[in-house]
Amino acid sequence: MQNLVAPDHAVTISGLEKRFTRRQSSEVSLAVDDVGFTVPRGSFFTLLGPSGCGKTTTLRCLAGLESADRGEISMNGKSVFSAQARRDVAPEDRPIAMVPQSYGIWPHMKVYDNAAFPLRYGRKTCSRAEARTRVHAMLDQVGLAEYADRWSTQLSGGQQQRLALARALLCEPEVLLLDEPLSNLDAKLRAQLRAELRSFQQKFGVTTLYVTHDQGEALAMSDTIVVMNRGRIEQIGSPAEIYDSPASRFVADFVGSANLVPGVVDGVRGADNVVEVKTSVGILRCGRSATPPAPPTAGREVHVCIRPEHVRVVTEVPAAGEPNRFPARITSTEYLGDRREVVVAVDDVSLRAHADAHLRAGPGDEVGVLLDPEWTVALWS
Amino acid sequence: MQSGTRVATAAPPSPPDADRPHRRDRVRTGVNIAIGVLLAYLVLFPLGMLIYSSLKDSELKLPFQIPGFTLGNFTKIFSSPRVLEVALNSLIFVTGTVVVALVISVGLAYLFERTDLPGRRFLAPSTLAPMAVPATVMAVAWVLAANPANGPLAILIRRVSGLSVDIYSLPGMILVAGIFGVPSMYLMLAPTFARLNLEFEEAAATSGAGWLTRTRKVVLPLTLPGMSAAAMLLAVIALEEFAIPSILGTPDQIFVFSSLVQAALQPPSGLSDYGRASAYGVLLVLLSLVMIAVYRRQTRESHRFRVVGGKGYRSSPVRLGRWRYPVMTIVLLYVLVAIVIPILTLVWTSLTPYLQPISLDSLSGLSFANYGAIFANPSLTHAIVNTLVISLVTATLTAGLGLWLALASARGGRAGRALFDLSFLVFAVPSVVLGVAVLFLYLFLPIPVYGTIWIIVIALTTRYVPRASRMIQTSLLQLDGGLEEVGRVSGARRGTVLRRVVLPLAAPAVTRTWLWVFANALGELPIALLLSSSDNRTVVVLLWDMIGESANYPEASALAVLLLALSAGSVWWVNRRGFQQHM
Repeated sequence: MQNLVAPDHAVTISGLEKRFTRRQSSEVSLAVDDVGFTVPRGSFFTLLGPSGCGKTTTLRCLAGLESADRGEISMNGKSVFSAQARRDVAPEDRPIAMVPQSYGIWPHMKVYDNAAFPLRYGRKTCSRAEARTRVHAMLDQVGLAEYADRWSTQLSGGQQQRLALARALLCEPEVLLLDEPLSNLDAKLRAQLRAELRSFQQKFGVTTLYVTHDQGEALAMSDTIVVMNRGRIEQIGSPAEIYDSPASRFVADFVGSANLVPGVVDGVRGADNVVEVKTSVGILRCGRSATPPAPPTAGREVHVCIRPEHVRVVTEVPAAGEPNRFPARITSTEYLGDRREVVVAVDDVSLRAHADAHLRAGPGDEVGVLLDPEWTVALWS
Repeated sequence: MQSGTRVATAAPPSPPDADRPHRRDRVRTGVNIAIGVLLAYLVLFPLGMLIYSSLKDSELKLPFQIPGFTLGNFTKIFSSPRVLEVALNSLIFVTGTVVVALVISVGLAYLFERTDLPGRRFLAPSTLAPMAVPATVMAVAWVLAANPANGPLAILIRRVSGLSVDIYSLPGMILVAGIFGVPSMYLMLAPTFARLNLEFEEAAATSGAGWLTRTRKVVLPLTLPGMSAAAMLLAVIALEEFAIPSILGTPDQIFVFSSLVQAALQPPSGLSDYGRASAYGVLLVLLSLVMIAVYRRQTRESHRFRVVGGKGYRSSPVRLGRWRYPVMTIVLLYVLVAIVIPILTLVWTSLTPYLQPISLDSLSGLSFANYGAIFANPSLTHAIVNTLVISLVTATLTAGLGLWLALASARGGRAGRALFDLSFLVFAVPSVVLGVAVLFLYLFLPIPVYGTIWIIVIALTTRYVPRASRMIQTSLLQLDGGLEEVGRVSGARRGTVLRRVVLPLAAPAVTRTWLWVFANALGELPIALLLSSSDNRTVVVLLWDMIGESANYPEASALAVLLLALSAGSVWWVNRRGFQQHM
């Protein structure tokens, strides 16, 4: 629905850099290092990475809670931060709303007052009566209508999260910033609220920047994912691109689980850029690869990534000449109900595989493994 | 399996298991009774004595030499116009002190904890410096710095604004006591501001609220419980403050309750009015008790507003922007006027031959003659020995008793905790009153401590034990109970675990407590003054006499500098690993 709107960028960041100085050693470290991306209007945009990767700092720079040392940020075409022009618009003057990690629900106010805060003291205030109808309508939307007169401390974690979301949406933001809003909830609630959050975002069509370290959340909710590591962007792409064609070892390992086999380029074949990699297992044919930084030459060091679900364990004797097929020995198996996780050793390389739950093989058995060339990825870095 | 069962049935029921819970109960009861008796002896006995003597018509004679009871003291107090005047003075003094301290310390706590004020790491400790100054020394320093005749601050203000400043007045007392109260108030408030989750303010900022709205609607309401509790506690402290109102108020006959109690007992005429002193003392305790009760109630309810902290990292939420340097200048100015100038004036005066305004001309006249003079004085060397013995013994006794109380409260079950809680009552006994009560008690009891330093040790120990036990208890509470259990499970006896596990872990807290008591006992005036006689005078009492009777300010300053150095040394030692407040 939102895609019908002319493609326009709600947020543009370029060359963002944030330095932190350690107190004791006065050592300077870069929390955010040359980060740049654009967020299409109305999209759900996720910053994904391990803790300390700079994703939260990037979000806080966007909110104006932290001042970057270099770079530009603009929202809706208007510059809100520019290190060069020494412009740093205060958070209260940016067209944003934010749901902080532990929600920032004020304990000295009732639920209604928490939600009504932006309409009373925010950027766009409105009359008492109008605020009343709007707050009640919003509380109704998030399922908190009957809690309006309670103290906010009486709410459960999930309810607090919804209240924080209601308050943020009442700001009528151009950009909604969510800082790991699900991380303080238990697993079941998290899955439920994840779906809710996504449906709210689609209903209100608000551009959303979402910070998380949970790859499951990122894959399930996002239109676009930015994977960050050590302050730098590793890859930008749709969830399917990130998962199926990771651009680096870090992304492959961080998003989902991956078997990584080191090797060197043997050659590039055909028009579809199939890369053949010489590894200690043998020649591996990789049907996928990111655009290489430089044309790959034979002998260049690469890693091969294959997801466990694309490693097939077969008990019949291999037909000669089939690509990516190797004899292997089962090291261990784990029965998980819907599947069997098998670790196999091909020479001295051990690979994890998702096998059929009722695979008739145990540790020590000789089997064959098939690494589906179509899902085998050559990683340049 | 079967053989195991047979063995179990064959064995007789083991005796240690059977009477085990019993024995533990008996130990616990014994400890609780011992603590109860100790607290009763230290607190209830003197207080009982105080009430007893307030009901005796004993104008000049000692209370127990008079038969019969009467309410005469109270009717006399309440029928004299003096009581109204003193009550009003006390009210103004306490309120003013709290307001001054609250405004300054809230400002400082906010600036240091929630803004990017430049130089806060250097400024924060400097504003806490008055903590190292005994109240008596502080009062003397202010007398020298702001007296209307030749105080440099008074002269400066007169030259700049034409206003004449008189430190010997209620506003003067309030200003000095307020500044003196800032460090303890700041230490109570700083955690409130530091712990206030940044997200609360950030959520308001991203909702579009500016600094003023944010502060008014979010920061202020959330820190209010902390502020009012701190204000109440400071009110109790201000009510019992003796040295400042007494040194600054007595020249113009401005009395508050605490200075009046002392004046009734040790009037310039030499004719003590025991009845009146104890009646005023009872009033003071009652007032103080009410305020302590209010404070306890406030802190008990404050958990509703418990402000949960977020992650440790995060920069300061409020950027001062172009106000950074102007605000820093104001804070620097405060440090200069409130702390540096008075102390410098004190040091200056201690080097001059006679009291005179600070000027470059008199630079050549400076010498250490005053220090030589006070050291040549035999009563001073005696006083120094007295002070050191009193402080050392008090610190050791208090740390020991405090450790015992803290252990009992941590391990003594519900009764032990209740008793520990009850010792909070001592906070409600102003030290002037404690001095009077202890004085009466040992005049009455056939224990020959009156007139010796030991009566001062007893009174000071009573005063500091509750605080000391709280300081130690906080550190014991932080110990994981599992550490002890592991010791027991490893086969060590209770005593061994105590000696090998608990005590080594509590040792740093006990050391800190010892030093804290030592530093405070050094500069404690009211108790030492009320219990003083010819043989047991301490340095502070000597200082008091020098200002009050002989008005020999240069020598008094030298003495004050000496006291300041001793006290500052030990306070610095206590706090070198960070400031803490225990209440």
